[in-house]
Amino acid sequence: MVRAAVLSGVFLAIYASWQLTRWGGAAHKTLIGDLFFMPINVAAVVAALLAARRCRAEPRARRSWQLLALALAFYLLGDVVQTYYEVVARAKPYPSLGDVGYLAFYPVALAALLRLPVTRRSPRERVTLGLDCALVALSGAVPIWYVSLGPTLAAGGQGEVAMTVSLAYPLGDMVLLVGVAALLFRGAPAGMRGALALVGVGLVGFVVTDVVYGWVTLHGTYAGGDLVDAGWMFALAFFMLAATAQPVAEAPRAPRPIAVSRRRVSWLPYIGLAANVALIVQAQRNIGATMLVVYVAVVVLVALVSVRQLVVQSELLVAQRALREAQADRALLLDRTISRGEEERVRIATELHDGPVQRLAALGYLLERSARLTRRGDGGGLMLVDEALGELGGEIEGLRRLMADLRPPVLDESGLENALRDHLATVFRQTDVKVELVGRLGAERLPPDTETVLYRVAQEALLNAAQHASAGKVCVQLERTGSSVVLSIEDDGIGFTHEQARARLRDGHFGVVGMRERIELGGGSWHLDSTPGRGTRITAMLPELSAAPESLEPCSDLIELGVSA
Amino acid sequence: MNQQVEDEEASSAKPGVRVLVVDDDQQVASRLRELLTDFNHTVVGLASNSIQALVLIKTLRPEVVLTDLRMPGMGGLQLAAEVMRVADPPALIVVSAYDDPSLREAARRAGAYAYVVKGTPGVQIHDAVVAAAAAQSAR
Repeated sequence: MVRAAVLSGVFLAIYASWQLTRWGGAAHKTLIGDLFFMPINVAAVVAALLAARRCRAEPRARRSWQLLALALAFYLLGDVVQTYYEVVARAKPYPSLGDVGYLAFYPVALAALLRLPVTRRSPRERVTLGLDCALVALSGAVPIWYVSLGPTLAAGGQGEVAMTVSLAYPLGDMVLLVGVAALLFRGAPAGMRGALALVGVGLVGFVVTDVVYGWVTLHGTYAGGDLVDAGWMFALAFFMLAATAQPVAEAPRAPRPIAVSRRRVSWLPYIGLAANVALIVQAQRNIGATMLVVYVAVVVLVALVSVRQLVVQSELLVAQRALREAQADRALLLDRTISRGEEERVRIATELHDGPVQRLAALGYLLERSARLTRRGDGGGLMLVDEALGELGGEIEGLRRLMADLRPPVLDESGLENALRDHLATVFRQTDVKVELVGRLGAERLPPDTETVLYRVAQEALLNAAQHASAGKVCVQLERTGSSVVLSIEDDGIGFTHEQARARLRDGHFGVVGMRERIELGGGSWHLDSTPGRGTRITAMLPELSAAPESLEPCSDLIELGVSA
Repeated sequence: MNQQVEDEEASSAKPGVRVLVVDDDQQVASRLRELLTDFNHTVVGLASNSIQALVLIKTLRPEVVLTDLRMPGMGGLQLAAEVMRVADPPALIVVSAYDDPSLREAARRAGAYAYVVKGTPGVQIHDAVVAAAAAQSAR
């Protein structure tokens, strides 16, 4: 690749020196100018064939390079024939066999581009891709029409065949633009990107040169070796470089499942639009002031709509990123919720194993012993019964604690506010943290689900405040606004940044996301304000979840039956 | 009731079995010792973990080992497998809080002679100890 680049650089430099100084004399201009094309064109064909060989493992890429080689070979044929006419026969038949070669280049090159391997796409992506391609191709086609196709058609004065061939060139350019657009938007497999970028540059150069050539022939005369040739020379050099840049292709991997891919904002459609608008202004510069204002207004409108579109698109991208983050959080949380449920079961099972079951088994052995002693008339048996009773009391107490731990009875018995007051006191019992509960509910009861959700959120928030905030004061507020209940937990601790919160989440701390999730699942809203050094405030607003369905009228028959049975 | 008293007295009359009790719960361990002593067995030692148990098995040479299943560090099943590698190994009885068929099967495969659920009447533990000792001496 590097050697090819150096060689073609040297070759182009020699060609440039010829274009500038015309060494070899003006008499041989066409001969020298035409002959310059042969080596670079042959090199491009050979390089493309070699690239095809390197792509044996990837049939689509191989076919694509073979087609490009064929297109370049057609172009070479055109050149050879053209040179023969210009230099040897000294005649300029138009159209000639040379045009057949040149014209065959366009469809074959397009076929080469369309054969390129692509990544799989969802139907929706294909629609967007089609729109983007159409936009770019059309915005490229309009200048072609304006500069060469339209004027050629308008000029007339040629025979039918000659006219058809004259129109075929700009049409071929339009076709190539479709290929370039497809190349730009379809994306390429990782290994081919460099090569395809060079092909793209070559194609654009080719089309631009064609357009300039069309303009030149309409407004003057062209002869082989003119400066315009430099454009095609440049394009051929890039085709050759592209082919040498093709690495040995790997076998195509199994198609990836279709996923929503990240879309970049593409500027190309807007640039195309701008170019066409510029064309209109350029074409209409001589009209009267009245229409000019209209045109300028239309141009400004188009520009504004485009800008607006871009802004919306970038907003969408931001929203897309936020959505992806939220989805990832949710997936992590779901995972965590499941494993947490399991962990909780393990904890309870372990507590039951190590606690009540052992104690009761030991108690059983004690009572058995007491029975044995009593049967033998040993008074010690009765003492053992007393011991057993003491142990039984302790065991019941232990079970009660486990039960309360699973579900605080105060929440069911005397409501959220009292439960929160108890909990607040428990969490900060042996600390210097000042705690305050501002409750406006009193003993008022909320639907059980509402109470549970808010209690768990407060539990989590207070745990965070106690463990991480280094707070001096914690304030919990609970009040009702309309049909919602608002709970806020505020501390004057060290606070944290969004990044810190996300880092903690990645480390497996789900407290914050868990709170938000609980509230949002309950149809409420959740806000977290935290500034490093200025504490944290968590506000949860929950609409009163619907209470248990109204109990049905008791069916007296059934009750009577129950009683009588 | 009388029948049971006679049974107990009859069994108490036989020479006792040398037993090692392994349980991380000290209360359970000492209650088991009391129970086995009441049945005229000799509890040669109490171990609160499997490592300690392996040392005591080699030094005190019990005929039967009663072991808990779930203990910190090496559990009862692993202990059973280790015990089977000792020369002239004692018979091993698993005393577990779990009544679970697959645990029973795992204990059997590890080489345990019997599997007793915690809380079963003492007389059944006694029976298992006697049977295990008989099986051990017959080997």
